Amino acid sequence: MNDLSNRVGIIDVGIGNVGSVANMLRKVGNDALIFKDPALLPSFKKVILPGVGRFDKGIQALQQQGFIEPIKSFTAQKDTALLGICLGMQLLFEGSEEGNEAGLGYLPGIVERFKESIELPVPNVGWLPIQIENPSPLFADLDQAYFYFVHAYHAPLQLTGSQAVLASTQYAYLYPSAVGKDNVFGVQFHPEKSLSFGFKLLSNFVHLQP
Amino acid sequence: MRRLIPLLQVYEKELYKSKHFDHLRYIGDPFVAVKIFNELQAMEIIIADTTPAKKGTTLNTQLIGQIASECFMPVTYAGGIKDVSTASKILSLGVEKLCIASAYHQKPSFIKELVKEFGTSTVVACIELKAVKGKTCVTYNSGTKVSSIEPEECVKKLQDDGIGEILVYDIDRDGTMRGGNNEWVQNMKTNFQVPLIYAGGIGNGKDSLSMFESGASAVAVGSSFVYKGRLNGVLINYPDHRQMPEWTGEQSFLLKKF
Repeated sequence: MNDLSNRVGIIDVGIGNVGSVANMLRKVGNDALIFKDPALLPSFKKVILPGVGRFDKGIQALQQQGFIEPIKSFTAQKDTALLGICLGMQLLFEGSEEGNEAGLGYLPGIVERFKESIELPVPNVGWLPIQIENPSPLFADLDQAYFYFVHAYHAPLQLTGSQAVLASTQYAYLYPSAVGKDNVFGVQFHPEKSLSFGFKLLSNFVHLQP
Repeated sequence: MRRLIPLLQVYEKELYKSKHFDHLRYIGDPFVAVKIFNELQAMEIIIADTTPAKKGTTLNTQLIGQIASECFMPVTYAGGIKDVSTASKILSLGVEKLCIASAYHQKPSFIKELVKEFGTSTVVACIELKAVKGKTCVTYNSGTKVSSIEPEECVKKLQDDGIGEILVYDIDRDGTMRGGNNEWVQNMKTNFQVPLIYAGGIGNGKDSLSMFESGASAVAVGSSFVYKGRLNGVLINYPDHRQMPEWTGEQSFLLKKF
């Protein structure tokens, strides 16, 4: 069997845009592997969980494919790193206002919908700048970066001010747009669709030394 | 953030450009075009496969996936999406948003179904406008069928159903490069609670800028980004960060190269 420890694994449970993540990683220089079998998870050191769509559907897809426990065992190893993208980031929390299922619970709180009262359109669709809140190697050289967002829900505002918020974004109000705790990271935006900025972020993830 | 979006038309696996949704002219290979738009740092892209509407075929998911996964910018796909399972398949292939132009006319519950399944943020509807006997009508099936719904009503229904964005495409201006329909956008702007993407007739930066000033959140451009020069030679192009203010009135944020 091929050695997977230098390759980034991309979890494919049918909830996300795995192709573009893999292609951008290949452009970065990593021969990323899209996989559906949770038994492969322990062979990787870096794994990405992409996702779009509804919260419950995302969690249920992970449950049905038998990924929940293997993901927890994977992140319990200290030399690994997990990156959730978009819905993949939201799944790292305890739950979401969008659904009833429990999330993976790495980070505290319930994912929230943009407040009804804001003057701006929901969903938030488009390129927005981030501001770094806590330094992280994942955001090396990305302090002036813009990323592409498509979302109606965001990380819990109660997290604001904590170490877990790596970056935040202003859309009617400031909300956490990148989170991290130990070796688990999540970004609300789509690096694989953020041209040179996303390229840099994925490159940083590949070179991360947990 | 004002969005300036290349709009690529695919027909039978090749890149074409239409005029009035007809008179297709061959442009080249869609994969090459997309890779050039990556290098030119196009901030977003719309890919419309007109094969299903023109030939009555089902959409080519394999081709969509291959093109979309080469795009390092967000992709909106339009063309032949008629059911939730096909929509789900497309979203798993590297497409961020689905654009529905015809199916919601034939199946009024379709937008609601898509929003329920995928959330509001991934669903875009296209309203294809065309003058029929001097009156601006909503059409579908690549402009070949005229709907009885009024444009205002159509915007309201789509928003009531939870649509994320609305692409307004003026067929009479498509491929003409004679300027966009400022009047329609200005008159209708107050009806929009969701972002309005305008397409049709953009010939240069001035045309684009005036659409933003009329109230569009985004401008989609076909001909001007695939043709260059007086004789319309084929050349994939997109304004760089120095030229961007002429098109959007804003400084570009895309300064860094790969």
